[in-house]
Amino acid sequence: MTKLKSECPICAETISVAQNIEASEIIQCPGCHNRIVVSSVNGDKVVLKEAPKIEEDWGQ
Amino acid sequence: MITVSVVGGSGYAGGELLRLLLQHPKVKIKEVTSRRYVGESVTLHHPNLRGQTDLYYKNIDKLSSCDVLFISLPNGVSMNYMDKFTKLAKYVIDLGADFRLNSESSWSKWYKTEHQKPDFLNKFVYGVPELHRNEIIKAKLVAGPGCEAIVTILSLFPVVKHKLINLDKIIIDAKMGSSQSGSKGTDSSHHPERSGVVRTYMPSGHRHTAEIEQELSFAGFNPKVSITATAIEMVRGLLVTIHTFLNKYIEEKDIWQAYRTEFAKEPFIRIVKMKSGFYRFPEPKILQGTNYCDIGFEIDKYTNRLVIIGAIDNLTKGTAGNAVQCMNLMCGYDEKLSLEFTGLHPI
Repeated sequence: MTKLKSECPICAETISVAQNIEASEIIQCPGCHNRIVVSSVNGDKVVLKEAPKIEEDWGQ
Repeated sequence: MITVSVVGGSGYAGGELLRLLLQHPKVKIKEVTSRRYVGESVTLHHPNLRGQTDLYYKNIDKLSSCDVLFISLPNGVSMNYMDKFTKLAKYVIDLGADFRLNSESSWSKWYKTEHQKPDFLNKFVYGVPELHRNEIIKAKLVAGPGCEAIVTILSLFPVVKHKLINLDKIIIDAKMGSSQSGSKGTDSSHHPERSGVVRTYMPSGHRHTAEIEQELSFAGFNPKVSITATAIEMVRGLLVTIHTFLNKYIEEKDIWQAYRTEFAKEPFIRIVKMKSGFYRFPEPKILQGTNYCDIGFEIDKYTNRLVIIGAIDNLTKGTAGNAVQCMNLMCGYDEKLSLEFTGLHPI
């Protein structure tokens, strides 16, 4: 299957995603291993954003 | 198969070395020496090795020839034996400080004694594979770095090389485990005094300053580092929090790029900077017994500060594991041999 290329919004690693990927899918960056969300897919253009994270109270 | 002996095998670094060498598929341990425990069983002092070896400690004067000789002696001792050691073995790897520095004056400045073998200083390769792999492959003599030094050097090397930080303002806050002070007890290591401490024992003047500056002085760079060392409640492990200041406004992607460029193919370096999970940045707890050096970072945009966090097990990547990695390179083996333990979780 053809892959589309995009860039990790956190570490700038090149990320290949399946051509049939859909907006709002969550993937993991192979460079920084963080969770990335597919923001939009428009033809060959895939826009990735940092996935929303669960804020934690670290006891402060 | 090669024969290997360990000089000074009763201490914690020696014990860690024996643990790694006993599981090495290409190594046969020939002899282990100890000044204090001649004739006693190795497993008496390293009980984790029970069932793995029947070696007894020998006197250093009875040492015979071997292929690789590891030296794990207190600072200032191995230099007195180095003529003998180099006659006994084709390869010598010294875990102590005696041959880490390139210059006699630097030794005198930081160790406050005269060096007894200055003619050997330039014969040793500083044993950080990530910086000197090609030299180590060809080397007969390797000096293992200090544990605090290696984690700091690895953490800083990419951002120095890529000219991202101000080299005059590098502040290293190091948190140390108790095994770093060795297996010999002192008044300050007595359990009621040591347990539970957060004890800053060296606010300035740490001797590893010399080797850190030496290794980061390349291509015309001349960095100045300031170290503060604090003992904490931890047996194995070392965490450095390094405060640096960026030369200009950059994004974290640029920092990622620098680390990726220098370390992407390194088997024992991991960049740890997670947005979720419990272990978001390097943490020595989960590195116990492993040869990994975990490095993380974050930009403080308010002050343009780059905080770099490095963690290792001081006895493995900080000493014995790194030495075995060097031996693997010197002997033409896969450098990961006997070093692929992933650590434990939970621990």
